[in-house]
Amino acid sequence: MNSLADNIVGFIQILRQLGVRISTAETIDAVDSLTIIDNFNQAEFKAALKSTLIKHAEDQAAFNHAFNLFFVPPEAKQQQQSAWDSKQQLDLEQSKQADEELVFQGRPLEISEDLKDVYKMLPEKEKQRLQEFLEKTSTGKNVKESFQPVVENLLKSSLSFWQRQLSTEDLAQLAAARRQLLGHDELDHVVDSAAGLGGTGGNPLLYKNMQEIAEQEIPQVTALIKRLASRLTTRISRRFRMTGRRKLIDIRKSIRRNMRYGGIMISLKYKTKKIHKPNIVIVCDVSASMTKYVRFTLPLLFGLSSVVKNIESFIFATDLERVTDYFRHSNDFAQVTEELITNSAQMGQGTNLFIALSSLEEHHRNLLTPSTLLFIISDANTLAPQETASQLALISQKVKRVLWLNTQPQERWPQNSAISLFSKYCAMFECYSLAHLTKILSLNLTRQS
Amino acid sequence: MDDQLQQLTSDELKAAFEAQGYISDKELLTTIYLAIKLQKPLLIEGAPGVGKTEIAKVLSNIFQTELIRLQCYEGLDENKALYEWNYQRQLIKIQMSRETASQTLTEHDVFSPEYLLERPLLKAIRAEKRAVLLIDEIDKTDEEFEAFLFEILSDFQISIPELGTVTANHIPIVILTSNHDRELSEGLRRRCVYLYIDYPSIEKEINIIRTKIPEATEKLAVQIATAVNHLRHNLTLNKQPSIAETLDWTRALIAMHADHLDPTLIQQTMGLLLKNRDDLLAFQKDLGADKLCSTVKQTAKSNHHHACNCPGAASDKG
Repeated sequence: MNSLADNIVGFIQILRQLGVRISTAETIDAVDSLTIIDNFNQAEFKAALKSTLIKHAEDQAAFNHAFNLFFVPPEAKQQQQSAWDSKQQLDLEQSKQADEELVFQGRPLEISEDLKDVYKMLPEKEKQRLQEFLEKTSTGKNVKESFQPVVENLLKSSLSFWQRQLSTEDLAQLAAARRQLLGHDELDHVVDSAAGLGGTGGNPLLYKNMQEIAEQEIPQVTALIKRLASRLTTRISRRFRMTGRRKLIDIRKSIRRNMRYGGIMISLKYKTKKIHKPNIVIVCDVSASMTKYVRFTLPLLFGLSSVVKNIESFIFATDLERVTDYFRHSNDFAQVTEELITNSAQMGQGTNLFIALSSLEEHHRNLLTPSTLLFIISDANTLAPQETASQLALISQKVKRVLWLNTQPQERWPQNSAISLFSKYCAMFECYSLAHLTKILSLNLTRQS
Repeated sequence: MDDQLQQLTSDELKAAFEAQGYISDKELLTTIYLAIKLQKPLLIEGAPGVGKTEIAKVLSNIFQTELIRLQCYEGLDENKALYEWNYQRQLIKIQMSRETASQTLTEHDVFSPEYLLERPLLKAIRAEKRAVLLIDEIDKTDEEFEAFLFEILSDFQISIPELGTVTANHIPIVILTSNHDRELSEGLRRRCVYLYIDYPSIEKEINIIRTKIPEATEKLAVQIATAVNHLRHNLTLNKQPSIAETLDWTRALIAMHADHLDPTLIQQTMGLLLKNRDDLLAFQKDLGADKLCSTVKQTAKSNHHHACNCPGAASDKG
């Protein structure tokens, strides 16, 4: 890492590890830009790299963190290196300790690295409890070697339970622990430290997990959702409509019109692209498992309903309930919520998406048209997953697209086998923060990916 | 102009921006300088009213060249952006030739440059002098048009079936702006040099007010910048006040002979900053003129004291 080119390439590797997409062409642009700047000072150097490598506002925070950590004087680099070495050493010791503790009759248990990482993060008291369990079963009467798979399964269940209890921050920490490092100490410590700093510098509410949203933040959330929802209101279709303004000549209509003048084109007819408003149907899970997200889902329903005209909203838990009229008749979110909670029989019940989808298909068939975008907002924890998947397959053929906004962090999806089943028939997006919603709504949702 | 661009230094660009009254910082200037030197389009993103479009205007003034503007909107297509044949004129020509038996008309006669209606993209490519091409609010167009656009921005040449290929005489300085209503394609982003402009800090906004409206007293400028900053950060608004609105507000206050903010003035003029009924209601409900006034006086005092001690870089719309 001596020459400037080496440093630039190393820095780009770091940014890529932090999730910034940088192409080779952009790398060349960055190097070219450095040959152009006149005053080679830190501010201009940073601006040159930033303008050629960073093409999304949300990547700027990662760039700033990485730049401030990577381009430092040698003494500071030395200090960072020592801190990184100590951290690596500590991590190694913790892994070693976990391997020593997770044993049955002296033999190591076969537990995935993910769960071992969860074990390392457990409070000391909980670790102690698991060790006591292993100790007791190892030394129990008539406990044979063949008992090991049972012990392993019990331990895995316990660790999986703890994994589900982890907060978003803990999950981020776990993801960081599993991040594939570059195998180059000088780069890896920057990746690790910059990823730990996180943050985007934007509105913190955008990045907040919506289950942690406070009562007083609901108006802000509703306002932000309303602003975002307007993106869904119009989409240009490829179809044309007639227009009086000069746009594209409609040859067919012009010829027909001018036949009366002996084929002389006196009166031209024009056409323009038609503004297409998709029909939107939202099916929102309000069952017990989704209660913690109700401060996100209800403002979402309210925000979308107040901005998008042709929208039909439903809530479901054990059955489907149409709620469009609640939102259509009132502008007061608090009032709507109160009415909904008082009148609805679905709030906080168990989840059966199969019944909800069947009911939608049976009683609201007219809503499921080829121009319909069907949004499902749910954590995908439902009874009868196989039947739900079949019903989803059926509905997905009738509508333009099924979009599933999943409130579970993507790291947890592998734990729910139903998710991979449902994903075959819909586009599933991780959506537990307004930042996720912003990203989803900025995509062209009407287009199959 | 090409020579002028070849020899341009970043210090000269800085001086030129200052002369145009555009308050800028190092990052902004370096990015613009690189876009010009690398001959790449400059993609500018940021909230409405932070001075994105203004950069194109300033550049056209600096280089004393034409500003060709393509305002994007939903449904914009090649005919409106590139070129169109003047059908009416072609028809008249054909009709006239029929009536004059001696004149024989060939296809070339009616598909010649004189029947071509130049739209902004073609105009920028055919310009005699290197032009500034502003493609404003690119996020408003649909994806098909965006794909078509980045093809043109890569080669700076256009094929007109009836005429052949038109290659740019001079590669224009291309500025694309976006309010981030829609995610732009990676392909387009990759081809551009990127600049994100955020709302200005209080110090920058004071600088902008004082540069643009010299009649504003320092006290008034400080209070206005602080008030606008407070509104942007502490109220959830559908539309945050832009720099242009700050300047309008300042002008209105000066017209009312104000040299400082008071609750009555704020109440009377808030419509110049917040132009949405919901936003005005949110202001009355969550903040109010009295509270804004007292907060501004407190913050302005401490901030300005701090700013005097440690002057920072100033940037943004001029």
